[in-house]
Amino acid sequence: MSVVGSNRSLQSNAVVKRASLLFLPALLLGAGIAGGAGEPPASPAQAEYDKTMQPVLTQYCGKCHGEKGGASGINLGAFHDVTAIQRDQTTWRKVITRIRERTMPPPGVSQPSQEQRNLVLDWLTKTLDNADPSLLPKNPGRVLIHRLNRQEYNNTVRDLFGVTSRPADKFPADGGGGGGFDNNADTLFVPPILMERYLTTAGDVLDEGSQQRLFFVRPGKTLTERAAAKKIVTRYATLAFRRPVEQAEIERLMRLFDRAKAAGDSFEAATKFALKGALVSPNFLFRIERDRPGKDAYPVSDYELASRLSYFLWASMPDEELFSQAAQGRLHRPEVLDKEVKRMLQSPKSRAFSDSFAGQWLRARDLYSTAHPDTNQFKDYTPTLRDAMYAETIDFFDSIVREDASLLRLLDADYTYLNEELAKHYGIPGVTGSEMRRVKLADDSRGGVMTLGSVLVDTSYPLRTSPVLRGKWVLEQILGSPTPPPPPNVGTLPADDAPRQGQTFRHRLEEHRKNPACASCHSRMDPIGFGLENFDAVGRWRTVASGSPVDASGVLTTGEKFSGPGELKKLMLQRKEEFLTNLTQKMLAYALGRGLEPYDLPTVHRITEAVKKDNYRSSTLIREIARSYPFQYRKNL
Amino acid sequence: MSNNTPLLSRRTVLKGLGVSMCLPLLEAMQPLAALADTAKDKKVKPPVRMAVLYMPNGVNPKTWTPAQHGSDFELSPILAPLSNVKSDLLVLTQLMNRQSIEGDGHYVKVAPFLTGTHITKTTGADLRCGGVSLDQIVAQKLGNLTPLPSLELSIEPVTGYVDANVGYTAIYGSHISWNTPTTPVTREINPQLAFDRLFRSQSSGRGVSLRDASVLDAVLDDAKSLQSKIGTADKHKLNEYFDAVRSIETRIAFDAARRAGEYAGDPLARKEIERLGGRIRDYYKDPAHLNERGIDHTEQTRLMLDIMVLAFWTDSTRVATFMFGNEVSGKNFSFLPGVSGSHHEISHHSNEAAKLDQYQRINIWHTQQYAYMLEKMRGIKEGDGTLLDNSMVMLASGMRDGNAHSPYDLPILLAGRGGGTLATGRHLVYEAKTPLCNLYHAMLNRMGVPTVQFGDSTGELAGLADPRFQGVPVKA
Repeated sequence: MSVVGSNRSLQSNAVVKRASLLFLPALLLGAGIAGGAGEPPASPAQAEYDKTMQPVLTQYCGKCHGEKGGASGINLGAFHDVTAIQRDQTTWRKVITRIRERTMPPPGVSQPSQEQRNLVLDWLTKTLDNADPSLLPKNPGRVLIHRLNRQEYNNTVRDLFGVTSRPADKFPADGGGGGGFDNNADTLFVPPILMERYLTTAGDVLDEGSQQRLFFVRPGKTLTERAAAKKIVTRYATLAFRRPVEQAEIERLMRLFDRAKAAGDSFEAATKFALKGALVSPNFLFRIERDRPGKDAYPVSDYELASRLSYFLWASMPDEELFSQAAQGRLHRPEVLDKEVKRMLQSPKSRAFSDSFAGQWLRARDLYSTAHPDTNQFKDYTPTLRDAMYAETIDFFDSIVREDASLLRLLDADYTYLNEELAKHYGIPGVTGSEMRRVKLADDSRGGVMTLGSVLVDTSYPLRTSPVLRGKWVLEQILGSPTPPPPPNVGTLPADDAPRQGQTFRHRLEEHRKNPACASCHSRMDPIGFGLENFDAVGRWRTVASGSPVDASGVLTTGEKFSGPGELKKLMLQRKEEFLTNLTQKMLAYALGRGLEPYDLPTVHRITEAVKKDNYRSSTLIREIARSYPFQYRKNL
Repeated sequence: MSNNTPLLSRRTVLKGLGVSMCLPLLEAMQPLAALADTAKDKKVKPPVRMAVLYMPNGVNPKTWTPAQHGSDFELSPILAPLSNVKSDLLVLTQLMNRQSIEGDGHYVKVAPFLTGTHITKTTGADLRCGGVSLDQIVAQKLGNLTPLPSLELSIEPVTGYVDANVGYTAIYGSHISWNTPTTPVTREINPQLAFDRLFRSQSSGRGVSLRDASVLDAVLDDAKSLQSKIGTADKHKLNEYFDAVRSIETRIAFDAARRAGEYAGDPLARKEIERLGGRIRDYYKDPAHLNERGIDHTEQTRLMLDIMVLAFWTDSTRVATFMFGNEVSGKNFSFLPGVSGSHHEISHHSNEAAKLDQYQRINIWHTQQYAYMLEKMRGIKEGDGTLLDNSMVMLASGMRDGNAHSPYDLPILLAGRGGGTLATGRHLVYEAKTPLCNLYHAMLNRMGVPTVQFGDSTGELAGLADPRFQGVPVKA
């Protein structure tokens, strides 16, 4: 189970606040009784549990999961205090899931209202997230052997042989899992179709790579062909396997050399044939970490740590410097690690981190897959414009990493990256030429991730914007607080946003929120989306939509009113802690190549505390992740 | 998995290479044209082929099902494009996939569509569909007889995100083929690569070659020595690697056997391969396709369907699946007259007449492509009949209606006569909630995989071979 996206939300605060007011007299009464007995006063969370949560849980779950029930081994009646709940994260997160997706209570028995569901969900999520780390088991988790994904393969052969043709772009796409990233070990498969490509691509890579770099020694008077080949094979197998190689492994590859020689191949061809074996070996295609005896967690080896770092920050293999630190057994030392992280972030290679992490976190990559703006209606939306939107996203994120700026700049910034085509599209004058460059923005209508062209396109339908999808995107990707799925049998609004029966699109969306079943979630999503209505389905600024003036005002469930993207961004900045927790969870999942688990919560908490103390500096987040327990340790599975 | 060991062991095959081919190998690898010729002389039946075409996002429930049942029925509006192949068609009504009721609207209906199992809810860890899919069971049984055990195609890349809203990884929505309960089979979406993989691997010299067999030998040794150094769960991952290597070894052996007279026995097939290769080149020359922005994806779809037909015709494989799109696909269908919007968006029609009409137009586009494939197959002579006669080609969706996400009364068509084992040209209405797995049960038997039970099947779907069977009378 993943904890990503379950942290405290806009809505949860709102509901809790409202709930507290609602139940204030009751709470006071409760406190009075407790105080009178001379016991320490119950914590607010405990009081809320006693007064609000337990009655709801008892009423709707108690029959089957009460003290006497215990259906499916889940006995909620056994939990009397908040600490007990916080301790058993696994059970209660299961409860959250069931309530969220409405599989519990089961159909046919009396159902809580959506309002009650949300109340319980928000309280539970908040309570579990805020658990004292000492209550939770210490577990670094475990990542499966990790097949290189397409980007990692491309970058690794680039760093190995100088091959820049991105051969893995022809491999089948990697699916996303866990934190939603395509570097998730669980969902990286090795189908036959990919194995075929590995074989043919290995040959291409060796032909295309720098032959000078490859044949750094040649046979001569004092060096036989076999001995020269062995030097080359040893060097490149070591690099390719990202660790010292064993003699048996070299001999296996040299058998290929011998075979090719016997068949009449030249020295070069036979050496390449042996290296082909290295490039198709599981030792190259997988990032392998070896088990150690015992049940306890143990630190990964320095070579394994070097690969963890390099695939996190470069999406590629370690370089000579990292290998050298690993060989000396120094890499795990905090001062060495910090220095290496700093160096790696300064390297141009860390652009791959921005590309891979931000491209997926912000869903900019969807521009190339699921986004389908209608190019008959939006003729401006050309392939080059799309590429510029993607580049804008990555450049913007990259600027924050590279300048070690505050992460809050992601929410609102006074600059972005544009070329002439994209600037014209946005209506920003004074940019000429096709290359991307940093452009200072005149006002706060643009700037920050929420107004990126890629985001605005991805969250639209082919012919119209979707305030719902945009609001949903902000809740999921920025605040980490997804809404539950819609109930079955719901419809959608028309494909375009033309007024119908005299009602504007916005009006009709507001109408449907009168249905309480819809309102509980749409009151969270829609207003945020309304705030972005000044941007059309391909991200252009507009003040009129389908003949009516755009109304970009909204009221958040917390009561704050705003109008337009500038004010919306200011409100999001007030949610900076939720934003940071979400970003930390996402980045940690990316760094580890696995989804987060409840036992990772203390790590997330520790990291966010450090980042907050350091003014939200981006390098602090990255460094703290590299220093973290799950990044440094592993456990047998 | 270890239970899909090819009949011809890797050692047998490799030993055979370079030396003279042993006889069983040659027989197993004979190009189909030769086989078909033999069929005439020696009454050897051509093999039965099976394809499943999956439509995401359901259909307009009001205009899918024909009004009459039995052999005297009129095609419904959505089925109208199939008029030329009506006599080769079975419309199957009231089937359902029981394991797809609980969960979410979409994902639990796709991944287990051909497995009949319940999928594990996950965003990535412990991905588990619960069973091996119909096509892969066949591939594991018959795959050793053809260069590729099976073929998996689509036109949409795997959806890369996790659907936080419902808590499923979108991987579930992108795969109907599973070769183990935990391993989806990767689909090819690029017509050029799919074509090259099947028909160009040898002639271009860029495919996997005979020499690679020794590379594979070496890396298998690498993998074996790794086994003792990694954890149990890792070994499971490594098994995927072993399986992949072995499947390529088989492929290398087939290619070697075929190289001499590639389809020489069937110049028509050879010609068709050349023609298709040309169409694919043209397709990529068109700038609209080069930049992947072409709204109209009809040609890309047809290229994929043609590749499937050619793969069957040349006996390169006997099992294929094709996904018109991933579940929840937002493909823009505005290229169709009268449609403005994307697939999933329009499938939520709210029972409004105007949207149902657009939904139906999208559905009709799908049946048109299906008809295109069936008509092609019917035009290819094989033995005493046609390729279609020797095939079972299914068109289906995992839900009846994209608005209600209903798992009941699924839209299911089956075309072709399954080598004379299906009496086509009928609309068969079954008892409500008849297991879809009963159909799979029947298909497995027809593919030569004797089956006692598949998923929740209670036996073979009734009346498929009996022309007098008119379906269960509809209750008033």
